[in-house]
Amino acid sequence: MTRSGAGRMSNEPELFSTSRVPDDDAHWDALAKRITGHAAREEYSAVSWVSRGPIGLLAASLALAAAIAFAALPTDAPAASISAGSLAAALSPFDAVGQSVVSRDRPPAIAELLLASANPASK
Amino acid sequence: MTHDEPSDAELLRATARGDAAAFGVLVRRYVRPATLLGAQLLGDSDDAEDVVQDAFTVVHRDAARFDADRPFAAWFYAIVRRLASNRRARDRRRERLFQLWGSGPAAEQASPPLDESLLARIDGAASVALAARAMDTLPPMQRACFELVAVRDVPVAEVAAMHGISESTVRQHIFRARAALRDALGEERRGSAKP
Repeated sequence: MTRSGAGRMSNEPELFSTSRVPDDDAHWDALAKRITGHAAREEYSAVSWVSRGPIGLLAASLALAAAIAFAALPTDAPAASISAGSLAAALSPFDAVGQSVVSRDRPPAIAELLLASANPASK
Repeated sequence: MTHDEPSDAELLRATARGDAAAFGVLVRRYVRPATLLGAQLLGDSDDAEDVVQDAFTVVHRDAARFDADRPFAAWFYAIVRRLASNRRARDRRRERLFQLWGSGPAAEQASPPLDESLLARIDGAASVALAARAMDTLPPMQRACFELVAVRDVPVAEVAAMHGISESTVRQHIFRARAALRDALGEERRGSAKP
């Protein structure tokens, strides 16, 4: 493209010739189609959504803060707060024999176990 | 645009509602003058197309925010001019960096020749070389307005909106360009006719 030229005044912008621009309907149709498709794709891209004003930025900031907070949570704290006794009780069987085996410090007497299995309602 | 065709305001409102077809009509209506404007500002048709694409992306994104009762063309061409200005500033910075590093392109590249079919339309009797020389002597805005109106058949009102100047200023530029070209071509012919 040629730059115009010789008689340019200092306050005028630099302007170029359009002689290299193709000027037929097929070219403009194709370009319009390309532009329309590009604008539609931009509309639905996540980056575009985030950059769209203060609401998008606020939402993105909140999501980022939540992600950082989640990542910073101590991972071993919940396990330490559960005692061995409550865990054993929660996992113990529901029947009387199972309960007597798990929830005592010492193993039950054999007679007791026999009685419990013979008469489940007594426990 | 005929009376049956939807106005810019109608198309913009429809675009804001998510009507892709309306946006397509708006793009097709403005893509040619906008690209010609971009080429005049940037000097490269590929760069011009990129800038026009970005400008339409802004329109698509902000259609709901723009007051559709205000003239669309003025708003849209202002976006094109601003994006082109940003791009030129970026290119200049890049060029300066390349020059500092000593490995970049030369600051002033050789101008490619003018398109002969375009120049031939200026004056059927004049030779292409004469017309090219005469066009090159015009001040930038005179040449830009003359080229758009006389060669590219863009309406005066559209050219005014494209460059952000009044219609009377465009007419003045064209009048002066015609007079300057007539004088330049007449002198060239007289000079070449002398033995």
